[in-house]
Amino acid sequence: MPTKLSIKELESGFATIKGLELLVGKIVEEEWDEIAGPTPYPSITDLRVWDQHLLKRYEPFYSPFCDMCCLCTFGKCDLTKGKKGSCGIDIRSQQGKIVLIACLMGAACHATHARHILDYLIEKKGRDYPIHLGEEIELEAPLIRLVAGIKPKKLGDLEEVLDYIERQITHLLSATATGQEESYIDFESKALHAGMVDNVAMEVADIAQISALRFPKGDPDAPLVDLGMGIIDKSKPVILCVGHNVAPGSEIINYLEQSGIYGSVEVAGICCTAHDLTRYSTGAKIVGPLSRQLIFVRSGVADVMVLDEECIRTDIIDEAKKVGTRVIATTDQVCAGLPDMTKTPIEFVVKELVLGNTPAVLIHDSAKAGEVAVKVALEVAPNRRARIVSDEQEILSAVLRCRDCGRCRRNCPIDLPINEAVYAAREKNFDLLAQIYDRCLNCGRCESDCPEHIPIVSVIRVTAMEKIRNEKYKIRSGRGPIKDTEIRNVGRAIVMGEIPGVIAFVGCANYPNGNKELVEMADEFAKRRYIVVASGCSAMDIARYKDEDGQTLYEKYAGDFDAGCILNTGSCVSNAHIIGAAVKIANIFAKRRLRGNFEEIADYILNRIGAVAIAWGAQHQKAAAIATGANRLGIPVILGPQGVKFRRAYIGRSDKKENWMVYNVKTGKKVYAGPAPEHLLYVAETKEEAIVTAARLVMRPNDTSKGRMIKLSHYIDLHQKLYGIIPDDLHLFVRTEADLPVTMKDQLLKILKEKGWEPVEIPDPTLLERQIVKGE
Amino acid sequence: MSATPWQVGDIPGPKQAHILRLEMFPKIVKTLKRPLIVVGSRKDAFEDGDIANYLVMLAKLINSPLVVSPSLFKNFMKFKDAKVICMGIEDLVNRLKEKDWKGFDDRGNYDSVLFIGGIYYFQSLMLSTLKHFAPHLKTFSLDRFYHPNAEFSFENMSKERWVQEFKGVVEIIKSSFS
Repeated sequence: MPTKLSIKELESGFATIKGLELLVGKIVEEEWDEIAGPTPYPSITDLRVWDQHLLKRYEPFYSPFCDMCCLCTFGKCDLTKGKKGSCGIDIRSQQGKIVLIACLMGAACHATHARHILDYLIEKKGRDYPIHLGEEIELEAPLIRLVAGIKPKKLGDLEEVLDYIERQITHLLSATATGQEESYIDFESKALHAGMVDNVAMEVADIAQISALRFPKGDPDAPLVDLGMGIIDKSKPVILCVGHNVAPGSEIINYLEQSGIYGSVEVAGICCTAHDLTRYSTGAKIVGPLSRQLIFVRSGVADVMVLDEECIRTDIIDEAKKVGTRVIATTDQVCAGLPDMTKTPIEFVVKELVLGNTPAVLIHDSAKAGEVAVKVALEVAPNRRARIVSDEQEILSAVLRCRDCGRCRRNCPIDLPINEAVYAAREKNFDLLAQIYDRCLNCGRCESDCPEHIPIVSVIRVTAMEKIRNEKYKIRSGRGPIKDTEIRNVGRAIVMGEIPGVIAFVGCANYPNGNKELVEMADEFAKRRYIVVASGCSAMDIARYKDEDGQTLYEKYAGDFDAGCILNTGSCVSNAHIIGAAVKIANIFAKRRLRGNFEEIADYILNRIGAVAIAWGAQHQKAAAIATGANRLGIPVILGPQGVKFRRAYIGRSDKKENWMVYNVKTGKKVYAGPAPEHLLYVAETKEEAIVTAARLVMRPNDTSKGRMIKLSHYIDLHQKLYGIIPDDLHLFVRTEADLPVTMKDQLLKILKEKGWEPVEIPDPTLLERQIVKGE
Repeated sequence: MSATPWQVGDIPGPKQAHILRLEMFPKIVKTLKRPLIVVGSRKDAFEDGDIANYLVMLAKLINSPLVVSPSLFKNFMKFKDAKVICMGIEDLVNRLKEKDWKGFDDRGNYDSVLFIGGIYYFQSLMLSTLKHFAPHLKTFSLDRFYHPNAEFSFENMSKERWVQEFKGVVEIIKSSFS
């Protein structure tokens, strides 16, 4: 950002100066005539008042995972029973601090990824390479425009956005140190700030790579690509990419293409780098989400594994070595104690890897890593069978050592009855193990505490071999952003409530009962003509199930941003487009100004756009950051039961009428708008609870009666179907009789009468006093 | 099995639950002035069909409503003579931690909460919330897993022993009322 120095008039013995203006720093060509709002590049306190609005209504709810504070040398400090730590902190603030740290870890991951990919792309294409997301997308960067207040035109313009993000992360991290922030509410405000910059970082990364790497540009018909552990052609050399940064993977494909052998080598990925590989080239394949990492690597199918950054198991190199898979790490985020061969001649590195003298190396050069990966894979693949020592009988015989001590179950994050399954396998009954396979997170914690050293994950893999072979699915490749034209088509229907809501399935694969529940949820909402969107590991897991016609949901439903469709935006950083879609609606449909205008847009989304995210398997700190950023913009998020371990929710109190007052923009009067949305961050215990809660959280004060009627119809129907009764809180969501579903009106009026219900005004809602236009 | 957390890593800190024993219940029940039973979503806790019947019997004996996690609510609808409430557990716990909450009958907050049938890790953290932020409440875990974040919890035990133990609790309370 340039700094402006002005001297109106100066007289000195040296000179007389009048009307001098100096700009120091980078000058951005200004071709954007939108008037700037109050908070371009907001500091960590600029949006504090907005945060306080949110946090007053959605009070932080803490579930301490640990009673102790162990962050400094005064500790450990026991914070139970209202006790304070040596620094004076209490459990509430300590939890706020931990939540902020988690959000910062997530934001830092996305910011680092964004910096890495941007540096890589600038080196390849230059700073002036245009940001271009296709002919139907003029609003290319809703979050950057909103937060930074700039309209990026070239890759180089994104650098200053990242400079800002990195500065915010540093300042926020500083506030977590001993002797800094003390208030839990301010820790939460800072966490919301971290979440916001996280979301912007994701947008930087994705619009840069979409523009420069020819990814689909908001294409609803993005190609269907292969996904699953059974889709790898083992007769070919196999290169497996793990992580999130597509640079090395894209260079593998480049080298294969240049060498004329693309197609004769399998290039596959695990986690989000897999999404981006298929966005780069439809010939690439997705093995699956993070939860497939250990089990697939142990199969030994990969000849070479290329690691970039994020979501990489810390023991995966050891696991790869056990099955002879060669490893190339490529970023400064995962050096793993490996020898740095970035500057070593390629032929020497290849030889070292092929011979196994150095089975794992570090190469900080994506193009070089790509070439080495291909050359090594071609040489080691013919010997793959010989190097896989896996003997099915040997693995299975390990179960005979089981003495049913139960340590495996008691180490399982989701309490799976592993001991019963392994013990049953002693008698050659593998049915229980097969059931475990469907739900297992493949974390391996069970076997690490097994006193008999039974390789439980491998046992599960071997007994599920037939299932694994048949894991062949289709997923629509990540389409990236939502088109402006799509927003124009559906914006009104969403804001008025006539499309019942946008449901986003996001986050990791840490599910309580396997991925099938995720598929069932997505199907339920798509059938009901909600707009269903997905990203990251959730988008993959939605594909990992076929219906009775042998189709995945991506084959069954269209990929438009429209009612009754299911679309995949892409990798973790493509979450930016889901959040960005809500911002786009405020701008394109409602003509609200974006530029540095965060509060107004967040207020608009909170009160008018029925979007809800379900992070059913949230696990990584990035999920905490993404969700918290969405929350600051007024988008509620539902977590699966494991999400309780994030330790904090934002829960509303529907029984406190005073919490749900809004201004009516047109009259300036404060009116009761009902608990809509009731929560900002809520942990649901089961799939059924998540579905019904989502149907409730899409309600917004601005819904028209027709829209509210549609939303209530689904809420009541789902409540009856899944809980067995009409919702007890119905009276809180009915403003006038016109809100009631026609076919049930008499029955519902009777219930409302028993509750003492009376009609209330439907406001033009806002939480911001400055939005009142009365008298204008 | 002993009083170590069911999930081995679930060690919260120095304050951990006292172990519940059958013989303690006649005394405990006298301290429950305004109890609330919270039923989690774990279907397998009710595999033995009698457990639900005994639970409802317990609710009636101690004059407690049953708040049932929504996905199991259908299973409890048949108990017409019990006060059964359908509510998300996190929403409920958020209210319970407020000392002045009016309760489901507008007569004020409860003094003790008895958890049963929750997903272990989820219930553990709900109990943690109450341990830290609801000093006005006594919390009990009636599951077959030791929950260190409760104030009182059964120790870890087999399904079979737990079924016997739980039924025994209800019987002993019943006899203490007769």
